[in-house]
Amino acid sequence: MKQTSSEKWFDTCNTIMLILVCIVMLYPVLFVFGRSVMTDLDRAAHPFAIWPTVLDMSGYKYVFSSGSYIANAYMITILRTLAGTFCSMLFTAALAFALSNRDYPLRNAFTLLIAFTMWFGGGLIPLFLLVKSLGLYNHFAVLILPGLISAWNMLILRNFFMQIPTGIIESARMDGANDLVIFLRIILPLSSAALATISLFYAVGHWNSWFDAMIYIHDRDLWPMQVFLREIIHNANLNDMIRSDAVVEISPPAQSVIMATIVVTTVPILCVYPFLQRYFVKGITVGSIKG
Amino acid sequence: MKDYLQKKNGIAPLVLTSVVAITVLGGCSSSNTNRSSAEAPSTVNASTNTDIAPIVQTAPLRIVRRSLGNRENGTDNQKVLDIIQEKSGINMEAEVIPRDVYPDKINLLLASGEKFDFIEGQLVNWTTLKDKGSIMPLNDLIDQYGPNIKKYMADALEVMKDKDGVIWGIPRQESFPTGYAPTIRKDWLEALGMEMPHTMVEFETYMDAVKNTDLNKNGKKDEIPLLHSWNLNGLIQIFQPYFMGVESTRYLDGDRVIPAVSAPGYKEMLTTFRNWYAKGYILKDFATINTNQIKDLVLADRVGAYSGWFNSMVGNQITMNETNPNVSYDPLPPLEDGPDTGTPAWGSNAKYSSTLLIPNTSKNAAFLIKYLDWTLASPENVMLTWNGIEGENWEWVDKSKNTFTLLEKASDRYSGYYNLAEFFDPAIWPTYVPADYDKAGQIESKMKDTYKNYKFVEPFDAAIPFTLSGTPAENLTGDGATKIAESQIQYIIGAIDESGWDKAVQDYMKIEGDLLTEVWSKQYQEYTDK
Repeated sequence: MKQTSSEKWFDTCNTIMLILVCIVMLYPVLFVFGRSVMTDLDRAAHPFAIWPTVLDMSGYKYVFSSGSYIANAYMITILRTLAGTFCSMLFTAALAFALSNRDYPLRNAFTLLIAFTMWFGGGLIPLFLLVKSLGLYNHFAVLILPGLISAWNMLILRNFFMQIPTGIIESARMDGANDLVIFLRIILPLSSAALATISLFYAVGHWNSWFDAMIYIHDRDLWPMQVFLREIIHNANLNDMIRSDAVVEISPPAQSVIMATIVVTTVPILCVYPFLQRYFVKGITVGSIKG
Repeated sequence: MKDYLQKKNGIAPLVLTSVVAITVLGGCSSSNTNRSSAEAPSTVNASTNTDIAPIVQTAPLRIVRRSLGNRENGTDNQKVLDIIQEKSGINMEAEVIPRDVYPDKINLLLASGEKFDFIEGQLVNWTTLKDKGSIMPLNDLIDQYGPNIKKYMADALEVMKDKDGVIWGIPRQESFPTGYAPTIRKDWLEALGMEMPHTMVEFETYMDAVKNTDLNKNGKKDEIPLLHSWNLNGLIQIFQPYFMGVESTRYLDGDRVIPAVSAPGYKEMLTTFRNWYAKGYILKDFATINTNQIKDLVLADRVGAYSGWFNSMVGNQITMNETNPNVSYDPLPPLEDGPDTGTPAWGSNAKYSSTLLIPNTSKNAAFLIKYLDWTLASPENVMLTWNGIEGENWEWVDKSKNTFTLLEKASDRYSGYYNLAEFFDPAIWPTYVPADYDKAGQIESKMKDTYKNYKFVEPFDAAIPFTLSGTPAENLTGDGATKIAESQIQYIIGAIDESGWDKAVQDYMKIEGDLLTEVWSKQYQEYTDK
């Protein structure tokens, strides 16, 4: 079909607009990457440049030179993200399925109790004491168990499950399916968009998390990457300004370290998004209709 | 059918929800068992011993350190620890807490009754911990196990005593207390045909020339005459002695200890900063600038003088020398034309400060004191704990003069991870001599040679254990401090005039200053009458 001149004009404007939006989106990403491979002098001379005149990898060398801890920390982060996301999804979905059942007499009571934890918490010291008395202090499980079920995510899933027609479940029962079969073979396959979205929430949460490890873990072999990277940024800033007594070390530019750290931290989790995107678009509306 | 469904629906959700609780508790109980078996209870509590009796260490010292530089990642840390343990006969293990959360984590450990043996005293307030009963007194332990501590730290221990003479920690001796001082671009001075300033008038003439000359030759008059660290504190900390004779948040007025903001000379100091701001000598963003911005401005060849820790510009200077070998940030001598209330000096750290505290949950306190004492038994022991293995990490330059140098990349291998109390007394602590490869060390050493001749003004209150606990000022909210901090900025940028500042000080004194004066003065009297 032949386009009219006004349609062409509209398309052209649209294209230009989208290109500008892309530039606005891409510039910060390229800026961060560029700064991570830029020397101090280069950065000072070209404050808005995104590509270095001289390639300087000292930021990355610094990030990966902290002994073998970074490699180990990466493994801890990956492990906590995979195990944590899997366990969280398993228990969140199970609980959400139970509480989505309209015939379950304690449904509202449990829901209210769970929702209560979203508004009120015990505070850091009581939580620390609890973690310690449960024997979770300085244990890998502390990265997963205390935050195993997010009340918010559970309620979203519960609402999604409640939108599934009860007729499907009842006909499955008539065919001899028990609750476990209904959960695994009916509910979960019908909820792939919601599960993918909530999985992404949990995965990103685990990937970015540092505070729990810093508070509950003192063994550096169990520290996730985020704690180390945070420490590297902090130390790089300080080393920039003050030399300690009789400490001979030439630190790379703090800005390169910070930007290299951002690249190292964000690129792996960014790679997950494209695979979940098709679910994500649908999933962001999860729970928007009250059940 | 319906009944069947309802029955099934009632049981299944209960089972599913129970799975969560059972699994969590199951996981916890197994972890708990492991934890209990891993803990070896100590049989020694030396702090309660009064006799010198042989004691046996049954559990390693648990040293809780803050992260610092890259020292915790030293590749030789374990190797050095093995030698230390063999020579000292004391076993220990160290764990690291990121520096910025160190005080919070220590509070958590103390609140939970965790057993550990070492707190870094520089990041926590020992008087607060003493008031809470969280740290233990050390008099008996030092008497029993610390002859070298008493020998070298006799004077320094005074700063760790309360008014009753109880010692609550181990002190640190600064290597270079007169380090808060400005540096000035010597090559720009020469380009302007000026001599190194010795008076405020000369310094302001230099700043004016920098402001109005294109010294970096970029076609723009974008030079910044004076940059400083730590927001406004970077100016106050350094120029306070010039205006007030001493650098502290408190001021000794006869026998009264008053807030510095209400003391003579303070307003004159702020008025000077106000004039500098109006003339463009200091940055418009002086109150919010951060480390990275400072570095970028310096490297952009825009900064004529820097006010902060003396060696802050060394790294930048080396970087700038790659393109301009003439760049040099040299020490600015103390200015001699100060007001009657001031003195020709820059800001200082206290000579002695708190560096090591022992939590009252420690079961190994005697061994910690013994370890410190062993460290101070010889320069070799100091060097082993501070810089690692002789021949591998460092070597003597002149053993008779107690000087040493570090071998290349030594700090990457070991950097004092097991040295628990730096005490730079030349009688026992070796002095570092930079090697040829250590360009930054050589510049810094030269600067120290200059700075060490400058007047050292120690804060009058460095040793006084002020505390608000149990006093009428205990529940102050800090609103007064916030208000006066805002007023300082407003006065400097011209948002309020002189009468506005005077009123702000009056308000501050009413809100909390008068009460603080009363409490501080009483505690000062008690301490000095001791």
